[in-house]
Amino acid sequence: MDAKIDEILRIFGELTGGGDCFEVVSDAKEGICLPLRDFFCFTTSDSGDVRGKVRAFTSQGEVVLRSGDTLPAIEARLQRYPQFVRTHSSYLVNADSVEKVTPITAGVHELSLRGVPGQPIPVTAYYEERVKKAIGLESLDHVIPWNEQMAAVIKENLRKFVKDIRFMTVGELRAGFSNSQGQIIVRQLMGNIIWQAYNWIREGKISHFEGNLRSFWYSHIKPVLARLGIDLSGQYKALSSTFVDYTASYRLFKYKDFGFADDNEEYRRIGKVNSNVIVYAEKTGHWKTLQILHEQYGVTIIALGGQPSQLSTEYFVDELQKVASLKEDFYIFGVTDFDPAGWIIAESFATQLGVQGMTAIKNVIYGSDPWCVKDMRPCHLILPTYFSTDEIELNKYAVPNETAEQQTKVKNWIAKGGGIEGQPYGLEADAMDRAKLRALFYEKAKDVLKPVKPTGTGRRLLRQYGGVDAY
Amino acid sequence: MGDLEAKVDELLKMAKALDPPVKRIGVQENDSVYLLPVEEICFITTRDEGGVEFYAADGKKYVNFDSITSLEKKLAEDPKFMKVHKSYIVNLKQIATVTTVAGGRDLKFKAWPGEAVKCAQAYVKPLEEYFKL
Repeated sequence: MDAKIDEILRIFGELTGGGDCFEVVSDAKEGICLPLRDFFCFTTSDSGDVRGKVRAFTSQGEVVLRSGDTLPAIEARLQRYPQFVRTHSSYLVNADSVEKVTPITAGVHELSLRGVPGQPIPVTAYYEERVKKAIGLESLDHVIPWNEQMAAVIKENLRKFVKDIRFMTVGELRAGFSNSQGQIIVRQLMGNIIWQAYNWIREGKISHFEGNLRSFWYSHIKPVLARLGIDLSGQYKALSSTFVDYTASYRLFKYKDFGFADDNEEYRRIGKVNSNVIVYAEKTGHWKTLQILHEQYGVTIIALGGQPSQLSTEYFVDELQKVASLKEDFYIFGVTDFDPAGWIIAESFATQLGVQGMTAIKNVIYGSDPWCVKDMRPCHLILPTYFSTDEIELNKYAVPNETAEQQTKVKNWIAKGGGIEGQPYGLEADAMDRAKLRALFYEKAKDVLKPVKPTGTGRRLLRQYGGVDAY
Repeated sequence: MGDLEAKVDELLKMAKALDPPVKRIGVQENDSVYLLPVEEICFITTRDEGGVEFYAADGKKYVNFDSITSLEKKLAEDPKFMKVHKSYIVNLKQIATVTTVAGGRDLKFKAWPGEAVKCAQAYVKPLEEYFKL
């Protein structure tokens, strides 16, 4: 019964502001005694005339403690009270005063405290577990249970509208999609048009879209923006990046849910025997060479036609999934220009494949060249090391290096092993002889290729263009 | 004196009601987790799109992806919260008016004058006991 009475006293003590009182002594040797809940945070100063001293943020304002009271000393004195938790080497926080937790980067968070406005408190990865426990949250990154799709819907302010947004009056559009200054939030408007179309297709209210993303822009977005007098420049790009966010980052839906046509459909073939070996080219000009490899070795091929589009990659992986499991090991070979743009294309294609669920991209030509990072990245077939000194001299060209943006790209590229002898020179994919390119592919891929009998077309192509008969 | 222990138990129960185990609920606010103090909640209801919505005394709505059933469990030891409908939990301390309507009671909150929360017939008895109606 004593324990029960103690518990009652503790609760009433805390509620009436009595309870345990904690005393701190200020710089001016004045002591103040406050209930524990009135202490929000202790921190060491790293600058100014209070440097090295502990500052306490309390309901009575900020108190600079006398020099003997170090943070570890305060922490030791507060050891019995689990609400006081270290969040950082120089912060001790009252978890009960935490109002908000914001993730900054992986493993780094910031706390906002009631009573200490405008002063974010850092949480380092080392203290994350303790902080979670003290605040009573299962995660500092987001609420638990977590639902990425629902969170995205809230973040993007996607709502259900009964009326077709495209047919709303200017007044209705302004009422639905303006910020507090009365300006239209274009992203939110576009997002809601997309969201409405997606839901109506899903509910069978309207049929699938027969055009491509461009046609969606003309039929669904442009007329509405024009009616509102919004500057249309850059807006198609904004639409496609909204789609990329919704499909790739938030996974709210897939492009195929809309039925969008893929402009790049002609330029892909799924291999039958070696479907997990993928050869891609940046330019459709390499299509013929890819076709020969496809017929000869049964590999999967795709020509990207410049920057790969998320839509195209989604459809490609979708088709690939019909014959191969995405859990398999994939070997990817890239025919892109040896320059910053080619590198960016290769990187984004690999990233997009990852987004579509292809997680085991292996690499077969380790070691010798820096362009084959061990896993997750494609092998580049166009590298200076595959050219003779004479060929390099004849074919190398100075990569654009004028604007600040270009200079950054070139710098990053050279840092990753690009450039010729460290100089900003590149090589076009077309600089390599096609028969040599095919032979190089076979040389690099032979260990992972399953034997395959060339098709009739393959044999004809072999006779016509020459090459190793893998069968 | 024989019933002293019973009185202490009663007192402890009352004290615990003042100091409930769950004092704050994490809600999603853009990229941050905001810790909403439970006493500031007027009522909680499900959202059409999934998850639950907290109507707060500051006139704002907050969201997380929990369910009414799970929240009912979390708030079970807090006597100011009561389930009044299969998709509503209310904070009894925030209720401004109780009106008898067909099929139950309409509950209104000062911060949410436009919203009436329906208390289903099955929950009317405990509600009226609380308010001693």
